Amino acid sequence: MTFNYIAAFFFIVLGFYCMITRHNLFKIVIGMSVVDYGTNLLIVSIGATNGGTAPIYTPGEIHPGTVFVDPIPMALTLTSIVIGACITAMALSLVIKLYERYGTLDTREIRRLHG
Amino acid sequence: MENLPILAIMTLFMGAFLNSLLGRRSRKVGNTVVFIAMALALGMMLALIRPVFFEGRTICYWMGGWAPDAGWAYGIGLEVDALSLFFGLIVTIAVMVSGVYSFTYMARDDSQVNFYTLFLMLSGAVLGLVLSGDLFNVYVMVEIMTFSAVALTAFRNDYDGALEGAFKYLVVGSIGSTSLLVGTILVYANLHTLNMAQIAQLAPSHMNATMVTAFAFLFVGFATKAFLFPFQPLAADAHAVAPASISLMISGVLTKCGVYGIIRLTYDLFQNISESTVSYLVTGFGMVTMFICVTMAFNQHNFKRLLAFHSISQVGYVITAVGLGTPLGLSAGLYHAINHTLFKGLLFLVAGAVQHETGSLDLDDLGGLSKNMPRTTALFLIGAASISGLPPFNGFASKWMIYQALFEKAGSTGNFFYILACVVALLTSVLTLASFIKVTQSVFFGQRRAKYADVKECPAAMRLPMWILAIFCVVLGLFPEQFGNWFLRPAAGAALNAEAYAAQMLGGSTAAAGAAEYTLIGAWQPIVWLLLLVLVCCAMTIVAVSGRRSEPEPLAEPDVEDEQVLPENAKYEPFFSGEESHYSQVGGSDLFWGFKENLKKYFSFWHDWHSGIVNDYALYGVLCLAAVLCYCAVFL
Amino acid sequence: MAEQNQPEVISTETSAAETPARPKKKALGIIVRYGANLFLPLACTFGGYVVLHGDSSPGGGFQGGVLIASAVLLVFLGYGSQKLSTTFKTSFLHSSETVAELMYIAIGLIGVIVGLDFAWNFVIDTFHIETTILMNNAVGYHVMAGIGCLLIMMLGMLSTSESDEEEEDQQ
Repeated sequence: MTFNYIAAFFFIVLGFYCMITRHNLFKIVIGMSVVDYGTNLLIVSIGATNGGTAPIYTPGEIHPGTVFVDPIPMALTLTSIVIGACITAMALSLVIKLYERYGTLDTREIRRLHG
Repeated sequence: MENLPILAIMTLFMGAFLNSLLGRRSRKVGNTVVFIAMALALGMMLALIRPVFFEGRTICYWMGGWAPDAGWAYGIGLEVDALSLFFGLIVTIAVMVSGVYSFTYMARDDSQVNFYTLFLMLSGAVLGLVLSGDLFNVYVMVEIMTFSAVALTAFRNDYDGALEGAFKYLVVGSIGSTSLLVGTILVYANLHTLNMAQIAQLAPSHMNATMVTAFAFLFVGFATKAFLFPFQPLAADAHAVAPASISLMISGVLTKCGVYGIIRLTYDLFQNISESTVSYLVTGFGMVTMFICVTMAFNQHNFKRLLAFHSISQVGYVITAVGLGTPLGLSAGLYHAINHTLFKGLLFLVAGAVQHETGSLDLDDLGGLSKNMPRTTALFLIGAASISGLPPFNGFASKWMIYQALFEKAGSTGNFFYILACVVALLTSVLTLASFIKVTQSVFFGQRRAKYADVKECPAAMRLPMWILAIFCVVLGLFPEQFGNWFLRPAAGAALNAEAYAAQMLGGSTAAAGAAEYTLIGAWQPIVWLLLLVLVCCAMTIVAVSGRRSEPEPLAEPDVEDEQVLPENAKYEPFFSGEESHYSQVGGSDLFWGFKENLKKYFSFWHDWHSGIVNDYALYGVLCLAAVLCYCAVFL
Repeated sequence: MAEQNQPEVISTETSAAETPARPKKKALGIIVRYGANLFLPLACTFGGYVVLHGDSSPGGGFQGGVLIASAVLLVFLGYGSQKLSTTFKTSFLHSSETVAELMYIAIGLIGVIVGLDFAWNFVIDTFHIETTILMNNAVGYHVMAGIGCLLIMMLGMLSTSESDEEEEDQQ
C-alpha cells in the first residue's frame, strides 16, 4: 500500500516536471493528464482494503468477515476521471486552435501576452 | 424557504440548459430566459437575507433527505450561514449586472447562445461553491467554474491572444485544481468524511502530518482560484483578452471564491488562523500580492491588463485583512471583498464601453474621450476614486477598516510583521491612486486623436448596469456603520464561530452563531467628507468656468518619419514643468518616468518575470506549492 | 459479460483504425464493415443494459452512455465519414443533451414540489422503479448524446484534415 502512495506522488511530480520542462504544447497536456492519473491512483489507494470486495449489497452473499472496499473514493475517482477527460479534451481543442493561429507548438513562441 | 438555496443554484443551471435549447432559434427568447434565471436567483438570495442575517438562522439542507445519523454525516448537504450568503449575494448581484451588460455589449458577436449557456453555468457553479457544505462538491464546482471561465476567456478567439490566455489559465489552473483535490482526499483519508461541518468538528483534535499536508494543498488550491501572488500572470492574461462582462465575473466573482475558500479553510475547517504561523502565511501572501501587482500595473499599456493587476492587488488587501484572524480584520476583509466586486466591476465595464465604442484598449493610443463620452467618464471617475480609497466612496471606508485592523493587531501583538503590513498597505493605496491618475489622463483627458473625433457615448443599456454599481459604490461608502451592523457583523460572526457552524449542520444545537463584536475608531464622518467633496467640486467648477478657455487643436496622426516628436507627448505636457517635448526624453505613456527610471532594476526584474511562457508560470505555481508545503511542515 | 464484450469492441476499433487510414479511401474493407455491422447492435444493447442496471451492478449512466456512443465510432469505421454525417444529426443530439439535463433537474425537483428535499428518492413498488434510476437514465441519455456529439465533431475534424493531406499529396 505504501508503494501505491509513493507511485501516486511520483506520477504527480512527474506530471509537474513534464509541464515545467517541456516546451511542446502537446507534452504539456500529457503532463496534465499524468498529474490526473497520479491523483486518481492516490484516491483509489486511500479507499482500498486488503482482500476487500466490491461494495455492492447483494442478499445472500454477505457473511461475517466480508470486507468491502470504501465506495466513496471510488465515486470520487469516477468524477475525477470524467473531469480529467474534459480538461484534456478542452486543452487539446485549444492546442489545435493555437496551432492554427500561431503556426507553432513551441511555448516559447506563444507569448504575445507578457510583461 | 429551506429549498431556496438549491432552487437558486438549479435555476441558474436550468436557465443555461433552457437557453441552449430555446435560444438557438431566436436570441430574444434566449435573452429572456437568461434574464429570468438571473433575476430569480437574485430574488431567492435576497429573500434569504431576512432569516439568515436578521434572525440569525442557518439553513441546513440535505440532498435527498439524507440527514445525519448519530452525529455522523452521510449525505451531501448545503449549509447557508451568514458568510455563505454574504458571498452568495456578491455572486448573484455581479451575475445580474454582468448579464444585463452583456445583452448590449455582446450583441455584435455570433454564437451568443453558447456564451450565455457558459455564462449561466459559471454563475451556477460559483453559487454552488459558496453555498455548498461538502468539500468534494466544492472541488467539482471549482472545476465547472474553471472550465466555463476558460471557455469564456477564449470566446472571442479572433481577438489577439485570447486562445493563449485561455490555455495558460487552463494549464496553471489545473495545478490549483489538482492540489485542491489532493487536499480533499487527504482530509478524507484522515477523517473519513467530506462534510465540512463534520471536518470542522473533527479536524482540530485530529491534527497530524497528513492533515498539515492537506491544509497546505487546500490553501494553495484556493490561492490559485484567488490568483494570489505567483498566479497573478494568469489573471492578467485572462482579463486582458476576455470580454468585459467576463472580466467582471473573473475579478468580481471567481477571485471571491478563492477568498471564500481561504476564509472557510482557516477559520472554520482547520480553525488555525489564531496560530501566528498561519496568520503570517495568509497575511504574507496578501502583502506580497498587493505590492507586486500594483507595481506591475505601472508598466502596462493595455487598459484591461492594467485593471487586472489592480484587481489582484485589491484581492491582496482582502487576504491581508482576513489573515489577521481578528473580528475587525475579518469584517474589514469582507467589506473590502464586496467593495472590490463593485468598483472593479464598474471599472471593467467602463473599459468594455471604451472598447465597444473605439475598438481599442491601448493606453498610448486613446485619449481625450471625456468630450465624447462624458457620462462614461463620470462613471470611471467614481470607480477610480473608489479603488484609490478617496472618501466618501466605499474604497475609503473599507481601507480605513483594514488599516485600523492592522493597527489594532500590530498594537496588541507588538509584532514588526504587522507594522510592515500596514506600511505596505498604505504604500499600495498611494501607488494605486498614482496609477489611476495615469489612466484617467491617458484615456479620458489629454489630447484626442483625430480618428476618435466622432466616437459616440455608449448605449444607455450599457450605462444602466454601470450606474447601478456606481450607486452601490457611493451608498456603501456613505453608510459603513449600518452596513457593518446588518451584514458584516453576522457574516464575520458566522465565520468565527466554528462550533456553531459544525453543530447546526449536524443537528447538535440550533444556537445562532451570533455577531462578531468589534469597535471602530471614530473620525469617520461621511457627511463632513461629502460636504468637503462638494465644496472642492464647487471651487473647481468656479475656477474652470471663470478661467480663460482655450480650445486645444485636435492632434494629427503621428508622423512616421520624425519619431523624435511624437505628438502624443503633448497630452502629458502639464506634468513636465514646461519643457518642450522635443527636449524631453520621456515617452508619451510614461507619466511616471522618473519614478520608473530610479527603480529600473526592480521593474525590469518583474517585467521579465512575467515572461508569458506557460512553463514558467507552471514552475512558479509548483514552487509556490512546494514552498507552502515546506512552510507548513516546518512550522505547523 | 463486461469482461467479454469490452475488449472485443476495443480490438475491432484498434484493428480497424489501422486499416482504413493507410490504404486508399474508398476501399474500407469488407471485414471492417462486417465487424461494424456485427458489433453495432451489440454495443447499443450492452450500453442500454449497463444504463438500466446502474442501480444494482457496477456501471451506470456514464459508462453505459459512453458504450452507446461508441456506435458513432463503429459507423465511422465501417462506413466512413460520409455516412456518418447522413446518419446522425448533430443538432438533434445537441438538443437531446439539453433535454436530458433538464430531465435530470426536473426529476430532482419533484422532491421540492411535493414538499420534501431535492433529489428525494421515491420508490414506486408496483413498477419496481425509483427516481434515482430515472435520474441515472437521464445521465445515460445525456452522456450518450454528449459523447456522440463530441465524437462526430472530432471525427469531422479528422476527416477534413485527412482530405487536406490527400489533396496536398495529389498536388
